[in-house]
Amino acid sequence: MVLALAASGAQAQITLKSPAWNELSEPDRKVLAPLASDWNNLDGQRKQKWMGLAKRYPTLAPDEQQRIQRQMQEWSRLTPDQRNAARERYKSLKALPPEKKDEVRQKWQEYQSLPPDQKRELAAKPPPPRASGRPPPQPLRTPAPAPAPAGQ
Amino acid sequence: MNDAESLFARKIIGHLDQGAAELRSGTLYRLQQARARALAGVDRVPVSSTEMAVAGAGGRSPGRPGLQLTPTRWLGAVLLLGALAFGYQQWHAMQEVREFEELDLHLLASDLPIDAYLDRGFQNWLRTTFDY
Repeated sequence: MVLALAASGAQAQITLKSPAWNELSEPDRKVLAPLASDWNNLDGQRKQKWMGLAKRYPTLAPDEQQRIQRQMQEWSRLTPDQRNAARERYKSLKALPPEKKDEVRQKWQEYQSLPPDQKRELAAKPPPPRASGRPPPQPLRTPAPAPAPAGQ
Repeated sequence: MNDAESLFARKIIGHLDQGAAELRSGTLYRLQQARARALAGVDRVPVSSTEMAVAGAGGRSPGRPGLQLTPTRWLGAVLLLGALAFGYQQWHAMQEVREFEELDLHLLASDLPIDAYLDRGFQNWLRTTFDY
């Protein structure tokens, strides 16, 4: 019985409410429109997350809302490992002081202007060890990412 | 209790003792039988929830049988455990949902694109040109 209970815990994500696209409220459908085609393939846990995000969407600044709309579909099509890797990196960058964050944004712009060969060369290198000794999260996206199943 | 009350009480006791002594043997026998039946009936009174809690905590009501683990009670216990486990996994799943919701909201709204967090070339380049 204990094993059965433990197994049911592992299936937590399918026990949450999993509304179909046409069961969503009109405002939620409007916010989550980029996910419309993938929505019915998401599990209950992912749907709940997106619905929670849609509820908070109106509180964001217009430029933040635009960025979310722009990236929502791409995000939902990443693999769970890619999403987790991105979250880990986001958390590490979020912890930087504001001036360092500005510098990272500037570095991203500079990186965009690097020649493609140099970018490929950089992408082929193994990730350098972190100062903390903690291994970096895997996997990272290489220049040609493969499409992945819809996710959270 | 003052002296007058004590005296009154002693008089009542005296009258009761005298009355009891004058009872016929048949009446005494019937009274004994009635007392025995009344005491036997006490054991059949359902145990209250407080008494069950005491018994479950290691105590036991004097003169009462212990909590019997009948199949119905086993089933009740299993159902209760199942409900608790279900409640816990729902709570855990919702916690995870809220955590991802908070994180993803800020990640997607941030002014760095998703690629900046996933591009291995950028991560390598950042680490060699930027101290963080």
